[in-house]
Amino acid sequence: MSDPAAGSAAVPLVIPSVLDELDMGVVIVDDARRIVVWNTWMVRHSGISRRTAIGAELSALLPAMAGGRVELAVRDALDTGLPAVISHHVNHDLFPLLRGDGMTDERVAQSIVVRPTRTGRGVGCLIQIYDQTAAVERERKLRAQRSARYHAIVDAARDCFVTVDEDGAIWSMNPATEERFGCSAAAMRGQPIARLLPQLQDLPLLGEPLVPVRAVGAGGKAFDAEISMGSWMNNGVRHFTLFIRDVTERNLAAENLRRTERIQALGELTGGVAHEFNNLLMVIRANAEMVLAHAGGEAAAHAAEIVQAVDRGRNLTDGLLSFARRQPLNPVRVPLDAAVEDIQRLAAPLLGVAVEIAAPPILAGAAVMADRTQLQNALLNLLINARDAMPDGGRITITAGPGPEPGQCHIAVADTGTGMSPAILEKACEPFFTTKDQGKGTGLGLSMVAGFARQSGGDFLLASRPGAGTTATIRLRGTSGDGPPGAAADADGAGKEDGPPPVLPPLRLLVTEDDPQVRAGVLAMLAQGGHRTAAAADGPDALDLMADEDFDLLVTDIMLPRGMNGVALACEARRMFPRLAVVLMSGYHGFDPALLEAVGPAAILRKPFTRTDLERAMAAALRQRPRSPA
Amino acid sequence: MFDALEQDAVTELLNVAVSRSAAALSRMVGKPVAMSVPNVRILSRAEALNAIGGNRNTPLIAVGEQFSGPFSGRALLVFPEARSLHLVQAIVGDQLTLEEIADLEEDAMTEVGNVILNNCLSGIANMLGCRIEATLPHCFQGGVEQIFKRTIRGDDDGVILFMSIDFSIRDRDIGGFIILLLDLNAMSNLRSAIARYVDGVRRSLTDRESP
Repeated sequence: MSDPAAGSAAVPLVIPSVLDELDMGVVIVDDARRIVVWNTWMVRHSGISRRTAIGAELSALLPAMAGGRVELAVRDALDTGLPAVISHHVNHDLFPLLRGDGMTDERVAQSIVVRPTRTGRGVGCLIQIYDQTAAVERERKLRAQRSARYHAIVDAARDCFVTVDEDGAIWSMNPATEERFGCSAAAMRGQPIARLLPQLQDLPLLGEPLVPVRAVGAGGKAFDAEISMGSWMNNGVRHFTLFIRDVTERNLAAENLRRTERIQALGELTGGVAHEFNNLLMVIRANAEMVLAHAGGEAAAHAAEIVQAVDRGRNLTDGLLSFARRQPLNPVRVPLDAAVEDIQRLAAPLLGVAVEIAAPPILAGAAVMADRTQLQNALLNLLINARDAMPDGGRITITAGPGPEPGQCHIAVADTGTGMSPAILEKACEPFFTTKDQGKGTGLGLSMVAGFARQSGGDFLLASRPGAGTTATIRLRGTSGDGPPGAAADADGAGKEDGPPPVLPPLRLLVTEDDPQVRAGVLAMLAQGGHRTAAAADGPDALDLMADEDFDLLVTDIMLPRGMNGVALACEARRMFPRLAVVLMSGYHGFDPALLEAVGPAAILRKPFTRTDLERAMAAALRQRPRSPA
Repeated sequence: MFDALEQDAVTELLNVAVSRSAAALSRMVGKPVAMSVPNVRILSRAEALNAIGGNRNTPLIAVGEQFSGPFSGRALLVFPEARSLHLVQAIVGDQLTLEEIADLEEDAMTEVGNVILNNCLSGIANMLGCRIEATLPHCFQGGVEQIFKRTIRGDDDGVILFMSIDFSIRDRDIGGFIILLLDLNAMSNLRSAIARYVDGVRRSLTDRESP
């Protein structure tokens, strides 16, 4: 009102004071496109005074808007009378307005309505400008809140998330997808999903609960994928979210498990066959020896041939059992220094001149409980592996000593060779895994070492980095003192094995063996010692006999029928006769060494055995039997 | 209803209008917008329903305006929702998420519809040499029957000019429909305007042949 321009006679139909109080912009142009109304709101937010605005052409006043949506809409409204709505969502060239609230210089988000009107001079155009900034900000906050949790999950997920619409067009994907498939979300936007997963060409697959596919990821690397889908409606349009999981490793693990199970089954079978076979060898050997002892001349020569063949047969069954990791172990006290010295001497010819071998001094008296031969085999395996890892030569260091855990000892073989990648390292102990050329290795080496260590109550560790060599460590139960605390048949040492058989006093013996021929063979071996013998076919029968008379020594097979094995029988018998000496005969056994320990001192005798073997075992058993409690 | 020449004239008229729409859209998007030449058909309401076709439950989005004056009726732009999301995405850019696009779909479609329909109507207005008053555009969502129920009633005795249009924005094809429901008065005005226009064309043809 105080402004003469606002009250100009050109706009008699509007009441300027009201327009100036509106919380929105109002601009009116006449048919010559000259501004006739420019309300206070416009002055405040545009920074253009009414004096400047009135009478000016819109595009001259605001050159940035020339040719833009607003100008075109004004033209339409003036020329044809059609109104227009204009949204800040869609247009970026609206009025250059600032909020001007004294706090920020944000631009005003506008939605504009342009419609024809009448001015004093005839046709005009009314432009209404609404401030949408607050609404935009509110929407932004809501959206951010709504999507924050979603993005926290989806962006951090290692699985791939892809959103597609019902036409199969990609809308979005998470960073895991970009990485897995080597693509960018921006470039894939709007592309058909078949670009990513050709199998999904067939759109009916969309919405299937679980689709297994073979996908090709970044770098052309193929992988097994499992796609699960969720569907949701957005403005009435169905969308699908695809969760793509790489199941290559899972499938591989399942395959490995199947293979391991197969090997295990094969092991069971082999072990069973070897057990039966050892019993047969036992019978043949016992009878051949009998002939050898009593006959002379040609018959004795034939019998000697039979004994030789039986020994070859035993080597065969030993081989089968070691494959099945079911070899009967005969843990004895093995001093570490001697073991390391022996293996260096044994391995030297195999290692060649390019490989240097060194062993720092080993703490004297450190010893492990282990099967001497198997320990030697294991160390030999490790040395050969070390050699093969150093085709151009290098250094092998054998360290041994107590620890790391109390009551434990370790033997470590370290090489300066090529080392292994984490992927190979992971599989190195699996049976039949080998990096060697076909024919050069069976792939059983490390798995046998690991099997031996575990069967002996210890464990086996491999540490390696590509280029940094490999260290293989066997950890076994340590032992202190000079004698074996538990079982040991040949504590006297290997040297005495070939000595004359010990002289045994006449004993009261109980033989328990389910195989009648083996039983007969053992009884025949014992017949000449002046012993009094009784025999039983199983545990309960043996206990019945023990209830009736006293025995000095129990010779029992470990595998017995009727639900009581030799170990259980020995335990039970010891309860009745604490000073009973025990010899356990074994074709093979899968027993935990800890279980054997429950028996207490006992000699272990591997089938097939000779009469001398039997007598040595009996002597050992008598020596180590518990002292009289008194 | 139209003879062949008249049909051609209407098609050309609306083609001009639609290419103006494309130009307007292109200015809005800041990218070239290609639009196919529409084939104009005169259909009954039921035929138009079928022509939009597809599954009757396919969700659609429509923008409608009502116009009046010497020439009155209703104008409707119809897109399948799935297409319209792509159209909005093409317009507002790729940086927004699906949810954000869905949020502003209605606003953006209202404006797009307004631009396209206004260009069609102003093309007709120019031809008839008159002004057209129109309401602000409204946005409708739902199946085809629902949308027709609210925009083109069964008891309307008008004539439906039906066009399929195909845009291509940023390599994305977006197909939709323009429906002009003209009341009988508007139809007869249109026909006489077309007759004048066709006469003009004929005259110019004879003029060219005579000398």
